[in-house]
Amino acid sequence: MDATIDTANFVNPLRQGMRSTRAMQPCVMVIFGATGDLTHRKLLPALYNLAIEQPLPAQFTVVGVARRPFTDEQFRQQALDSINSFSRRRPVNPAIWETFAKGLFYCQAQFENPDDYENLGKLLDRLDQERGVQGNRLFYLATPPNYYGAIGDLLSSSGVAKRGGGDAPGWSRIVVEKPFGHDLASARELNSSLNKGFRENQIYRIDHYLGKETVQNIMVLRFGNGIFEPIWNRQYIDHVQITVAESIGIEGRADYYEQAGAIRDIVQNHMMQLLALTAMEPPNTFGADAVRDEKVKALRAIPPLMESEIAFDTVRGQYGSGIILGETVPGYCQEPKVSPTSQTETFVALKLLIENWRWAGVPFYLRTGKRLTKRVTEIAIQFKRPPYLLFQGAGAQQLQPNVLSMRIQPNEGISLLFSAKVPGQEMRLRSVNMDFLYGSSFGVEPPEAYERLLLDAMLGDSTLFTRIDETELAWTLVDTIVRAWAKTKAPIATYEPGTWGPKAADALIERDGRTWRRL
Amino acid sequence: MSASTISDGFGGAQAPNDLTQTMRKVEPEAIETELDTSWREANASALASGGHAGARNTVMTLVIYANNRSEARRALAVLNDPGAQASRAIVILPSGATGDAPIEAYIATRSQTQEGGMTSYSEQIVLMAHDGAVQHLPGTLLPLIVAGLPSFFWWMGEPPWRTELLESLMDSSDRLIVDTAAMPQPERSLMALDDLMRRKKSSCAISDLNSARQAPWRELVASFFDTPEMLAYLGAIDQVSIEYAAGAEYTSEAPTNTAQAYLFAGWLASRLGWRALGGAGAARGGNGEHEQTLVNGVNQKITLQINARYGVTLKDRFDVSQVNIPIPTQDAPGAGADLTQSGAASVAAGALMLVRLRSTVNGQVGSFTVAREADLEHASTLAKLPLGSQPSKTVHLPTIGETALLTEQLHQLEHDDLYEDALAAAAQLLDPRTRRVTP
Repeated sequence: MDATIDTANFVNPLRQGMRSTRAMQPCVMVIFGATGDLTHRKLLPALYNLAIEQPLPAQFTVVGVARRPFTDEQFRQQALDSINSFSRRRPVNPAIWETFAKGLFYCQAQFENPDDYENLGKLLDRLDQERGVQGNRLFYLATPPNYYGAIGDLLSSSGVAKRGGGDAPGWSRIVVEKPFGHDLASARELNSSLNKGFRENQIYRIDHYLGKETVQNIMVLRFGNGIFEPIWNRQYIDHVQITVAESIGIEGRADYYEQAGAIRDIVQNHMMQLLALTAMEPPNTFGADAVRDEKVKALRAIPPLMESEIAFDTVRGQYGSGIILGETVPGYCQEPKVSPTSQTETFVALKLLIENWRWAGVPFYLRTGKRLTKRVTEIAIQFKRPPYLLFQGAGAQQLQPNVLSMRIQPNEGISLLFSAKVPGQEMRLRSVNMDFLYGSSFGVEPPEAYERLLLDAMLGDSTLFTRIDETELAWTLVDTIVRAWAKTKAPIATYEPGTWGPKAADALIERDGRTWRRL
Repeated sequence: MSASTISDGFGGAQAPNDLTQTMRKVEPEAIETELDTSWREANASALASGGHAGARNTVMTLVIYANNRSEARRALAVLNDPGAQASRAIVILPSGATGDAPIEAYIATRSQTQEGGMTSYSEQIVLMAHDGAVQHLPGTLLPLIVAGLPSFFWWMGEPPWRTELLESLMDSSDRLIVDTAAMPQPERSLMALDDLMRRKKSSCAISDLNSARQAPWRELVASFFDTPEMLAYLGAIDQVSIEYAAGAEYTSEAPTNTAQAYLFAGWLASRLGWRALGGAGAARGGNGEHEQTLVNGVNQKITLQINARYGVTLKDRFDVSQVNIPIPTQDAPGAGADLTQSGAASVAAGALMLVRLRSTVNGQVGSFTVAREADLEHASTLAKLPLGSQPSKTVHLPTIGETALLTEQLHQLEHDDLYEDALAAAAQLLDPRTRRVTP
């Protein structure tokens, strides 16, 4: 490589003015857990979609790493099956598949065996030469979380990954799936392992929610419009509700879920990210650190919860058995591989405050759960009522306050609830909804979250990935809650599947004179 | 889209012909009132049958000038595509016939329910101008443009350059959309477009569907030079060959369309700071061959060759069956994957067939080729360098229908600098005597 060329700031003049000006360098993506479900359902289909839509360079290469004794051909066949089953661009285009498949390789390895990393290194060195990958390596950890530390350690000690700032050509980056640790201590321990081989700016902690168009649109709605930000504060907003509801159960993931529960599975990552994006101050630029600095400031402004507050401001629950749409469904404790006496929560509701100038006194109510009424994720900003009820006796008392809701899924869009006069001689008021739906207005299907995030990782843009301080702050909050729950003797409350969770969740918000939104 | 449904706010009463048979004839001055009525009636009907009321979630106005009924039908087919955006669309159709009134108006409201229950709503207005009343259309048309929202103006076919009609409609639009593939004298049209762009730059952006068609080619050529090591080759290009599809064999009458080739050459020239030498720098052969000498920023010469490729089956570019491009969805196997027509392989006249760049660095030659495959549906890259070759890459070159091309343009509000720079450079290649300042 010519040392006089500034590779970081290199600009291909032919890319100027193109919609995507970001030029992608040749690279190899090394997927640990290449025969697993995430690779099968998400990663390989996303890579193929990117190949179809062109951003991948000709030299782009994938090396699958797993324990099964696959050949390159068998891995390619598995990739073909994945794409045929899960790609949004199926069926496979034979000509594109042919060139894409030529870049797929497989390396059998035990994730904790140092000798296998030597073999992997040799393969990657060979591909550097044969395919012109130029030493650029993106490692993707799609394994069970208990292997993350070992893989990070061995990538570093074997020299397969290059720590940034060295003389060797090319870059190394590592993408780590959630959960990043089990608590604050394990997250820090994992980070230490990764730091042996990777600097912070080489570590990409993925939270696929941040790859969703609608989540990115939270920032556009707030900072791309002039009308929302002036009222986005305690003077106008009464409270915020964030809901991440699923109608399904744990779908055979008992091994993971028994260890995690709803608070680690959803609250620590997805919900804290949604909260941070809703509450953050405007960043100076739309750059990775500027955005993440502001998110961290918002998370840091959440005061630590006292044990007494946790009993009052958090609710956990577990779904019991019941009937949904005529089908009998088992309770959580009757799910395969779940302990019959499990106290793992499948529902969490909590009330958080953000103590800063903008949000003082505005509660953020969060709820998430499995086997709830419907699958819906939304952020609802409920505004304060008008200071004076001008239309007494016109039904104004029954009117809903203004609510701006941002629906993340399904029916991605934005709604504004406001009051309108019912046509007629009398002055009667009613709440009406003004809806904006992405699909209706733009008529295009957004890309899969993984496509955007993989592309960003290859391009070295970490804006939509979680930085370690965000992760640690979220774990600090969750650890406090989990510790307090562990001390309580009372058994976890169960709730009827298909409902909106335990009654205590209603009580949590009703104590403040508010109610959960009916979704 | 396989599972989409379209419902009209109106029945076929008073339909004078197939063009407007699902529309309702109204008085021009009552268009807004009638549209309001139609929404109210459609919503009342939907609510009465247990459905949901629709919303007029218009995001823009799209004005379309259709030269004849055939083009108007194509326009309506594009508007009725499930991928179309929620809009108020106004189709202008000049008619030589004598009518009861100089301008006839037809309206329709449409809701399209897609898979997953997503519904989009649109309004369509057809203004038929009889007896030369087209010159007076702005008075009827301009009040119908939705205030405060982006307004686009699609002129199908070749616009009447430097006319009051074209320019007054442009003045009310944020973007003029044309298609140089549909223009019989593309080189003259590129020059006229360049002239229009320069005069209207402050008020209206310009896009060309023909430029959007060649985006995959630009992407592939750019991708050769995405690493710093390749920068030297980019700066040392000394020969560019571009071939475009020109039909089965050369005949003096056979139409050829060089617009894509010139736009591609213009793109390269604008990005790399090349300009055509005036005077004796250009030569034309009888078989659609064109050779020209350009110079780069340090006065090194570049030979530009634009050649017609014969032996290629051309398709009818305006086959309406191409218009309805399915939106790819996860639940619709096959949807969106194959955008080509069945039958023998064919491409539109003027489509790019090959781009080859030759570069000489320290006396060693490298070449960078993007070539359309024999199936005409794919293109492959080949980079030959002194120290070996890069891996080849193959991409699908879908026959992108007008809906998809148009939709892409409708997403852009600001000037498309890439296109405008390429157009200016293409015009300079076509007329080197005119010394333009490359933007």
